Amino acid sequence: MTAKIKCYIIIGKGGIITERKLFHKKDIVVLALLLCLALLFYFTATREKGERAEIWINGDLYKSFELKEPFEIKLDNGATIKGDGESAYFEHSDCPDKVCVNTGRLSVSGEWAACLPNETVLKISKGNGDVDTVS
Amino acid sequence: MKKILFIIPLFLSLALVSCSPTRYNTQLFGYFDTVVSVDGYFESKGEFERACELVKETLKEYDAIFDIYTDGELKHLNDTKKAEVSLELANAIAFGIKAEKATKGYCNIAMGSVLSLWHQAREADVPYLPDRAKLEEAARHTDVSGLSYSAYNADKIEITLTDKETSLDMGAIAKGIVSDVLRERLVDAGFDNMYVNMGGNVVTIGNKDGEGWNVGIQDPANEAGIVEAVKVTDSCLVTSGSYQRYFEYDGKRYHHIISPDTLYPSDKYLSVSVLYENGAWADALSTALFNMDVDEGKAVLEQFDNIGVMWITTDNEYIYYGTLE
Repeated sequence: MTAKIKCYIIIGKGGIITERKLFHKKDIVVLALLLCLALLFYFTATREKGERAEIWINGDLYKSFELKEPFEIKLDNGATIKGDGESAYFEHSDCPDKVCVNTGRLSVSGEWAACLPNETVLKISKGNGDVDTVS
Repeated sequence: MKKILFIIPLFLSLALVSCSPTRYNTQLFGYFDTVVSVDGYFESKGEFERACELVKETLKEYDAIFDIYTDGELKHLNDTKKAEVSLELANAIAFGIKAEKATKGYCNIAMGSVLSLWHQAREADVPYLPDRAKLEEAARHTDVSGLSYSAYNADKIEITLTDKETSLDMGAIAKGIVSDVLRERLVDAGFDNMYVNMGGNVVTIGNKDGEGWNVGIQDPANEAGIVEAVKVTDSCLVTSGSYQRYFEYDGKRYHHIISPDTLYPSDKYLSVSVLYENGAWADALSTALFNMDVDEGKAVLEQFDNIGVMWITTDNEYIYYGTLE
């Protein structure tokens, strides 16, 4: 089971050459454990249901809504963004490619949909735009 | 031997984790008629508690100075019209006089007689509108020049309200003054990465993770929402909003920021936020600007460098100035 890769390491000024296998059994166990941890972290951290839908225009936060409350906003740039109490989505856009509308419904923290022609981004966040406090 | 080699870095990383400061936060109640949040990074729970104690002591001390409704030092001066005051109160009044001048009278600590009529109306079991004639009579006694100082000895100061109908209300600047005191005391005590939020008066120390504390500006139309997020480092963000304190009469809302021009709640804005290094000025300006047209306000702001302002008008228009642009 030991990987058959050999690796030469030069140690010290004297240039003594020692020989060591790159992967020991233990190394593989550790790597597997780390991978499991990373996967666990990924699923618990990023699959979290978002609390707010943020609308960013030209790089600035324009407005944000609570995801659990239904909302509808018609923007001057011709896009309509809607929330149905569960998710938020571009319902309509005047842009030619409609990528934003086709992105569909967003509900998980970190998910986003962008309408590039209008520089409008709909983003789901954990809450309050992740601010520390509110003035 | 190999096992040991494996374990050493593990312990090293654990040690590193336990040494890096931890985020703690809490809410304090019962000061300045609002909720006070303390939040930041501290070496230990004990250090955090030490910071909280310092905040509580300071709030208590200044509450007892500025209170005008129960038994504060300022109430005593208002009642007797002539009193020996602490250096803290004298300094605060001196700042108030300076702020009145700088804001062309739109933030006026001598408006106590007018504000108390609105306070009574708002706090009544059945809220009512204050009598117009009474408001106008009270407004005749709001001149800050009717204040006289006499300093005798090094630390004994007597203040006289020469107009016996004048009373002082520091509500528009008290929290700002306290936020500056809090910052000074917390920094002196060795705290370098935290903030205190006194019901919309946010004072930050340090820059969180290198980028600054992320402070939202409240959406006036939605209690849970924000309209803007601002990075605040060693500075103060103060918002005066019509949604913060109000009462309803005959289906209409009357909020707490009273215009010296109309003697009624100012109806130009939903909120005005000021980002400035000095908390007392930020507080005074947020109130003054709330009562002024944008152009008048911008003229006043020319006296200040590195200041940022956001107005949200009653028509829901957003206007930005300076560092908030």
